[in-house]
Amino acid sequence: MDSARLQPLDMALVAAYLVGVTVTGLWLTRGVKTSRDYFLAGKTLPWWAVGMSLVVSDIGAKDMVGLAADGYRYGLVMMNFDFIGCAFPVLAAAFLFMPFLWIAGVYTVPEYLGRRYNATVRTFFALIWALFMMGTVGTILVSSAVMFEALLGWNFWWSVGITAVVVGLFTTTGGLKAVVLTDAISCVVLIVGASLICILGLHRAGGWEGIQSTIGSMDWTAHHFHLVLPADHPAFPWPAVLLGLGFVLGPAYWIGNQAIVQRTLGAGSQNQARASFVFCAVLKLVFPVLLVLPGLIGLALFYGELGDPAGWDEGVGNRVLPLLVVNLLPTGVLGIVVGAFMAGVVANLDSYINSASTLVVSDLYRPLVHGRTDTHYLRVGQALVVVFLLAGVAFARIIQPVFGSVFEAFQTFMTFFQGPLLALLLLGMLTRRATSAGALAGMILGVGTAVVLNSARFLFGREQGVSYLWVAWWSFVAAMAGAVAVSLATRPYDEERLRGLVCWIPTREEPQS
Amino acid sequence: MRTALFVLATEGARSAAAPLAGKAAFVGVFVALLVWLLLLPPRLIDEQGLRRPWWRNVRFWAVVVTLAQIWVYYYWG
Repeated sequence: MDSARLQPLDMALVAAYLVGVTVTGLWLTRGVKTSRDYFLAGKTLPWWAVGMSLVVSDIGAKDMVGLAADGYRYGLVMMNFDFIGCAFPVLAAAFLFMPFLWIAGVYTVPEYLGRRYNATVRTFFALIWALFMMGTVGTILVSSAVMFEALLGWNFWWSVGITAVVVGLFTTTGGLKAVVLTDAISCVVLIVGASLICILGLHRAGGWEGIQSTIGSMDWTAHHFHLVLPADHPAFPWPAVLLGLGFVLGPAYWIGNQAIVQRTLGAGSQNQARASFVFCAVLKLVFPVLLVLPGLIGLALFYGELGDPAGWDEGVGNRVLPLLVVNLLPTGVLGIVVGAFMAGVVANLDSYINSASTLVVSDLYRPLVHGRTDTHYLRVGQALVVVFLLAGVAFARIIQPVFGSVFEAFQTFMTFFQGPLLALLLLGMLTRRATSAGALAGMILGVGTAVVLNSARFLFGREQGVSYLWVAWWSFVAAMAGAVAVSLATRPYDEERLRGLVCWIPTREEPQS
Repeated sequence: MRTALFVLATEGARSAAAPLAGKAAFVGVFVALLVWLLLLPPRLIDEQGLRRPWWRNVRFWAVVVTLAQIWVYYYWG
């Protein structure tokens, strides 16, 4: 087993983090009076806090465990998820897409789609996001349980229960403001903890040269030090990484993910929201190194114990990070790193349950049960946080044995609808001609394509499956083709109907320059 | 047991030529992004169209990130 016992100093540091975050979160609940305060933090959030929150909403425990495992298996290519999959779409979102959502004054992405197309599209994506977020909450809980079991000897349900209670305490009452400001604390702890693993690991492995020399001498690691792999590589061929990740999954995540968009909508102004995206892009230059390097360090130091990933049984990859933590970190540092891991779990989890609650209240509950007081919707939102946590706990148990890698599970969830969502958002924001009939056709065709391509892995086995990067790309192409074809065959909307919703038709207040 | 995936991965890695086209494509995406950022009209940079000092200018920091990405893909691609 890779488990270690925390010394009193480690426990004090972990407790300090947990108490600090919980007290800060609870203290911030004081200002929550309306549903706007709860769901959008009253639009008062500073850019630096939103930027840090964006980072830790994207990177959490699942990435720490999953990317260390995949870094061991595949090497530097995994950094693409935070380079081409993040920097490019984040900057495009900052200057091109975010202003639309801001000017439209919406709470959620499906709300924008509802205004641009119709209520069916809105409801469809709201439902699918709700399911996706429940799955994501389960994914986060599984990865935290793996780590806590390895580090502290906690059993699965004990780990899941503790995590859910800590997060539930302040997220239920504090809303987006508590989530974003505690995320900023967690981001700092995460950077410090991940840096310590890298620094101590590099020292033990003989520096970067030592790692390159050890890994370079293995006969299966020819591409471990390249970001761009050959076009015939079975897992990460460069065309699939560029098209599937860079042009579909990355943009869909950073432009269309409620957990991301909601933070920027809570910023104090449009300028603050733009600055938060750019600050996130700056921070994301460092994170790929902090997350993938431990995998390479693990390969250099523990190849004798973990062996060739070709021979790994289910879950072996998830031992890479715990092995490093247990074997490299001295007392005190271990406490900081465990605190960093908890920070990743807390920040990731609170972001998703808060956004799921916002989405269900805004897009599903409010349209059905309208005309109630604002306090009523606020209370429903708070109750939904608890419901989502409990649903995530149940889902955690289901997904644990099915997927080989926690990170891959997260990506697989996304591919079912990220391509179609991006196609509808792009067509909606950038063209006048897209219609609701076209959107429905594109949605059905895109999601259908993703289901067919993804089902190959379940019908014919993991080895015969289509890479999720290609699934994302082809579902995007299918949705785009379906939406364009049907839109061109149906009657276009008049200009007034599209005012403020399409790039080329600004609101009346906005000067045309 | 060695899975077919990793057998293919290993063989593919050994046989394939260096993906120069791939490297050029990734660098090209960021070069295009850089050009777009430099040509963006001021109203998309700042709500009020104000000129800010470089350390508070979001365009400057966006360009820094893009240049860093170009270097990363050029060097490590």
